[in-house]
Amino acid sequence: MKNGKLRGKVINKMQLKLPALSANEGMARAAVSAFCAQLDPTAVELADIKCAVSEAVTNCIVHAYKGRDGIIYINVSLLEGRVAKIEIKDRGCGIDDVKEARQPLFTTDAASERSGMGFTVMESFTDCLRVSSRVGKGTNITMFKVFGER
Amino acid sequence: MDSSGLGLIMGRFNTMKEIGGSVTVADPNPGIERIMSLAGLERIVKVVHTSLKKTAEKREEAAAVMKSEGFFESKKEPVTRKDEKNQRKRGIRK
Repeated sequence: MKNGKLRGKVINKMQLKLPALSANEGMARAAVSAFCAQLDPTAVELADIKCAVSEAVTNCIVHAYKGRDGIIYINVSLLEGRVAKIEIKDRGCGIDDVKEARQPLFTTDAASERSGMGFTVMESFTDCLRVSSRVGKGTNITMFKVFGER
Repeated sequence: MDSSGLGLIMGRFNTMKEIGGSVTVADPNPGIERIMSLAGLERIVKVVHTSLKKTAEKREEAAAVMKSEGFFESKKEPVTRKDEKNQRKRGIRK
């Protein structure tokens, strides 16, 4: 992945602020994919975005806020060179060891049928995933998706 | 589907392993198949592609077998709220 492409000029952007309710998960993925649709992605690319956003929002609801009240912040920017930059932030519990959390099948909540594949799915369905987190402060994830030339 | 769906299938797989059964995923769409192969799930659960009609027939067949084996009959008398109330009333009267 060429990092230069990820620093293109911003063409368009949107912001979304949602309470951490599972009903809003569908809303978040639909809103982000609808916004990205103006770059004319393929159906598969759009499905990738939906899936990645859904994972990130699920993490905020289930892990960061643990079902309690909280706000999820979503920023999407469309960059020159057919790139979508998606930032999803929470002010939840934060992650102690990000490297460990990103391992496939790692989960803190094995009892309730969690697969531990969230970050792995985000990583596989986007072109670049950055995670920064501070315990007690919250987590900030940034995903880049580069759409193919059409 | 996202990783929550994977978690669900993995959970069911564990339950069925404990009680000696198996899990089969019927007719996943391409998106589901992709995410399943990402997690390597197709190695632990069987994936079948059938026509929807066949699937419905199989389901009915299985339901008929389960019914004939008394799978749906509960052994205990169902306890309703009314029953509980009556029991409590009787207790007081005694």
